[in-house]
Amino acid sequence: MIYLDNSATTLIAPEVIEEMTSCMRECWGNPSSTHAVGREAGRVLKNARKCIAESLGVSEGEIYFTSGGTESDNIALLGAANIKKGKRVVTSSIEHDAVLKTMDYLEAMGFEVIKIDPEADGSIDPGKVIAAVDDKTCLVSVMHVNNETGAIIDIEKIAKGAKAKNARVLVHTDAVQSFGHIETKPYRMGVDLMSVSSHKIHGPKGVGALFVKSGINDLKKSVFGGGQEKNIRPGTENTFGIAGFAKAVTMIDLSENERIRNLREKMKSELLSLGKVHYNGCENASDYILNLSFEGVRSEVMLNALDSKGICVSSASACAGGKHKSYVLAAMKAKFADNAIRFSFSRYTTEEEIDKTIEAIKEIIKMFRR
Amino acid sequence: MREILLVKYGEIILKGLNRNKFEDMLVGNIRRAAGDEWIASVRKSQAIIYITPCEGRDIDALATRISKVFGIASITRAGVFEKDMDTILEKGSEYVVSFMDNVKTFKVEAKRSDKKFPYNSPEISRLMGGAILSKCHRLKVNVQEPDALVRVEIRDNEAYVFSDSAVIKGHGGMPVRSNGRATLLISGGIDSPVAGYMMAKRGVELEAVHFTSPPYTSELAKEKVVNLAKIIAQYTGGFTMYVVPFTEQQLAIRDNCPEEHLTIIMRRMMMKVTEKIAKKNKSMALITGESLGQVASQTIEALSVTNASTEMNVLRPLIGMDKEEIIQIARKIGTFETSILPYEDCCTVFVPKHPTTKPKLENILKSESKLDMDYWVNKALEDTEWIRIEAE
Repeated sequence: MIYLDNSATTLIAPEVIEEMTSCMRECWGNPSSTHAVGREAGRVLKNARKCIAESLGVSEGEIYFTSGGTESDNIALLGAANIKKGKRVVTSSIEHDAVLKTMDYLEAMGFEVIKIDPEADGSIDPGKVIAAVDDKTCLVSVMHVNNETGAIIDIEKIAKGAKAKNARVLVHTDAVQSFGHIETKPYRMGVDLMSVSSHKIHGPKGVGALFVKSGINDLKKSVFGGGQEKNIRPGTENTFGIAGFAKAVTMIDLSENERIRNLREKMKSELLSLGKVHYNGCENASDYILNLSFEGVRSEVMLNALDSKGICVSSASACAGGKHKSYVLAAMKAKFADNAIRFSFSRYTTEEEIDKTIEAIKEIIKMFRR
Repeated sequence: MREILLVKYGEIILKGLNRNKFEDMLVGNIRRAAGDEWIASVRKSQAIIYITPCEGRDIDALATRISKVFGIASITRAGVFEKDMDTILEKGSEYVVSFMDNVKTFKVEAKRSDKKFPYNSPEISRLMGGAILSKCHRLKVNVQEPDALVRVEIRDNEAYVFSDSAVIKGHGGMPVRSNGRATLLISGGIDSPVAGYMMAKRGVELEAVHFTSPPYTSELAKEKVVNLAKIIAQYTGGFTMYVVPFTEQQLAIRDNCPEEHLTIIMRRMMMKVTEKIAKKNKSMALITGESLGQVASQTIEALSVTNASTEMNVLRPLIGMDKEEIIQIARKIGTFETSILPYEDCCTVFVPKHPTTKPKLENILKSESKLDMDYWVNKALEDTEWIRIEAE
């Protein structure tokens, strides 16, 4: 099995499984309990929070555990959109559905949602985002790395520009596809809120985190319960998941990027050289995502054919569940959107796997292109 | 307190001398649907099947398990009591009242097969009526048009008390296997699962054939059809589904035949493949989900041309139904939500831009002659795999 769909999810690192099972065996208490069993679980939580805070260069008190990227995005946007501070919210049209669908909700609640379209190469022009910010804007939310094309968006520039125009604006970024792959430091980027997820970095599903910059005390609540996570995300903490997430974070190794970059470059250039293959993306892209269109072979045909050869890739975001239309490529007005395939890599990806995939694609094109 | 299920059957009652055979089939199908270690004993008497669950089994769960078996008109829960008049009146009235929340009037009918029981039927009815009234003051007796009919049956070893307000409606029909075997051409759409359900309801034992076109169709599309078949199996019991990879055949048709004839030639080839599978398995007919006029390949002309590809009887239970009527059944039997999942189907992979709606057999045969039909049919048979489908 060759797995090149790491933007959908990643395999759980063996070390993470080890950490989680030992936590299940030994630290199964409720971290809110005051007795010895509870305190033990509380220590797991504390250590994990510290570890994630360190990797983002923030303080422990700024990290809130959630059930994953989608919940982090929801809590951030629903919390920061505040009609009293302004009715305008600025975002992009290539965000993940976790942001786009929440924006639809905000729109229905009376907000004016401005969605900035991408350039033809899938990048977002920070200038266009900043231009949309006015004195009645309360929130800007733009993703750090696009999940379909890998485009890296200059969040630092957006945050700086937006705040220069309106100091009260809160800036959120969905860093689910960048965390663990490129540097994601909220303070350096100048954002107030950042969403990250565990299962994209070889941790378990069902856990993520939201960074909320200290000093922001007026986020509106969208989940109600027993007071955990300072009421930002109440509910008994998923300690096993959080322990696994923290372990996965300690294993992040940005020095792998160069090797992955070379694999991506090799795959890109060899496949482009076949002819009638098109690159969907921009130059400043994540090393971990490569999106190509194979003229004459529809996405699902390529996907199924690779699947039957034991190679897992994807045509659009996996969260779209079986539907192959990509709104990201549509927004880019990509000419061969129906023929797009996303390859996404991880630190476990080998050169041999890339070579085999290239060979498989050559065969498939020969058989099914028309 | 113990409970049993009383199963009433519908059309089997009309059967004359064969009735016993039909009843035995129904009991067999009920046992199979319930699964091992659910039913302790079964007794038939006067067109009712009495089912005693194994100890510890939840009576509602058992009723749900058997409720989809064809041939059942209704299932009623009944309380089983000691043959002591005080117990029957006290516990029995309490039991039936618990099923009478939505009932205003009732009537009691008693029956005793044990004639030595110290009370006769009218006495039992009267006493039980009184017991129920004293348990629930808002209820009234109405012997002409009662909302609920309460029955007390005095048997040799025990007494049953039940109300027809505790009844679950069955799906009716005839026991599966009482009407031969037929082969369903199943796709991932809305119609063919409904067609399979309808023929199985008439007592037909099913087997199914499904065509796939990898890589134009995905593994998920195949899993979807397996899931549809599993839903049908809730009614019919397990059956075999043959999966025929059809990509090469479709490519051969595309490359050799006129575009406007693609769909109709493909359907004819599918019928020929299915016929061979059916004959091998002693199946007596083919079943399709075709409905007159629904699409280009289902005009009366197209159906005739498709029909001419086989000498077997083709059953088309949906032929005169509107799409909306078919959808209603699909919703009722639980296939609709699965059918509308958006995976590509092998019939929609190569669709001509302007398919012929009034094909003539001679023209189609001429187009077909550009292919080695026998070769492709046999090739499909060689590549066919089978899957055992069990209810889930």
